[in-house]
Amino acid sequence: MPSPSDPSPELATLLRLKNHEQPPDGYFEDFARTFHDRQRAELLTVSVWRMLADRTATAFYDWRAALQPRLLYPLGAACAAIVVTTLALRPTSSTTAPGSALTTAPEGALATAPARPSLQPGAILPVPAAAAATTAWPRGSVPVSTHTPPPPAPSPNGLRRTPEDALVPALPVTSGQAWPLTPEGQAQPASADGTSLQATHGKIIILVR
Amino acid sequence: MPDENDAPDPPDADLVARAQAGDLKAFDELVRRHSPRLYSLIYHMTSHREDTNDLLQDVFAKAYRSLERFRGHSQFYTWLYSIATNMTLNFLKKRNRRSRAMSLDDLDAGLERNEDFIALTTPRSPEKEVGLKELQKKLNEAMQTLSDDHRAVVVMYDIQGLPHAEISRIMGVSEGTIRSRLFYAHRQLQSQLDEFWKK
Repeated sequence: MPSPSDPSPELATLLRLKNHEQPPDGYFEDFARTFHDRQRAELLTVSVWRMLADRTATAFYDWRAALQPRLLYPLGAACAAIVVTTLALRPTSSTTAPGSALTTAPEGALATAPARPSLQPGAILPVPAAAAATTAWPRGSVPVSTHTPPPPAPSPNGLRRTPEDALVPALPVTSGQAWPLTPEGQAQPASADGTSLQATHGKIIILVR
Repeated sequence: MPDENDAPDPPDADLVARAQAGDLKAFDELVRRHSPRLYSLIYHMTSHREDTNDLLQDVFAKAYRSLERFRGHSQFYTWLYSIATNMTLNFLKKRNRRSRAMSLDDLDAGLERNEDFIALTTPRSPEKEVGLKELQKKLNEAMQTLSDDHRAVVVMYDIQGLPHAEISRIMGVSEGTIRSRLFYAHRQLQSQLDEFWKK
């Protein structure tokens, strides 16, 4: 009884004809001789790495052959689940809250946000703790955000966080606040508490004296 | 006393055991025994004689290097077919697909005595033979449009006559997958040849 996967009789006949496509007479004798020579030459020049690669591949084939084909997919799925779970449970070291990612330059208390922040009425701009520690603000006059940033990690612009960023004070920013531009194209508002904000190339930089 | 030449060919398992013990002549015999069918497999997958020759050499070289790891979980030719299929599929992935139209000129002279060929060209006429050559050419082109995996299954099942279960073991996929690939491949070949069937 023909299977649904069987071809039509005409196609089956045409495909069977292709079995007659063979190399010229004498090919297989020449092939055996050529292979014989190559085999003996290779015996003298097999590298350790090649032997290791072959043995690994053969071992892998043996495992595959020993398993039922229907077990391969569940086994593969189980392996994939283990890998995904391991990756998911691995402690993250580079996540930062959106809009609060600050980095400090290696030298000086200069912090840059990686993207242009959206300033909403009453928005809070966090300032690195290192900067806060060096500022001349009277103690208690600067609100301190409860946000605790994650552990230090490389930032997109290549600058590194320092452990001093662990505690982040914050400054209130007024909506629509205008800042005069410096000759270098930087907005530099002055503030009574000695803190200034700079806008450069789409980034807001908080300078603390 | 029977002539040594009349002795039946030793089974593959004996030759494999001797080759594993270091008998190179035993492996040479395995090469002679299996190279025609492996050649056909690789040739119909690559459609290129030089590539086929190179790949066939590589397949036997790899088989020889891996021979000591062959445990007999499957028949030797299944193991050999598996190596050949995997190496050819890997080769095809790397190679830019070179479409090479083959024709019946590539076939050996014995084809004209083949019963399938006679049936397809009877009553004999030049027009009918030309039509068959065109059909064969069209089939080769259609084969090239199949994916490598589908073409491999068609070659093993339709051209070489291997059963589904054997192809399943060679390719390391389920029989259902083999049947599914065959169904899809036949439908694709059929649709491309339909205009010729109508003539």
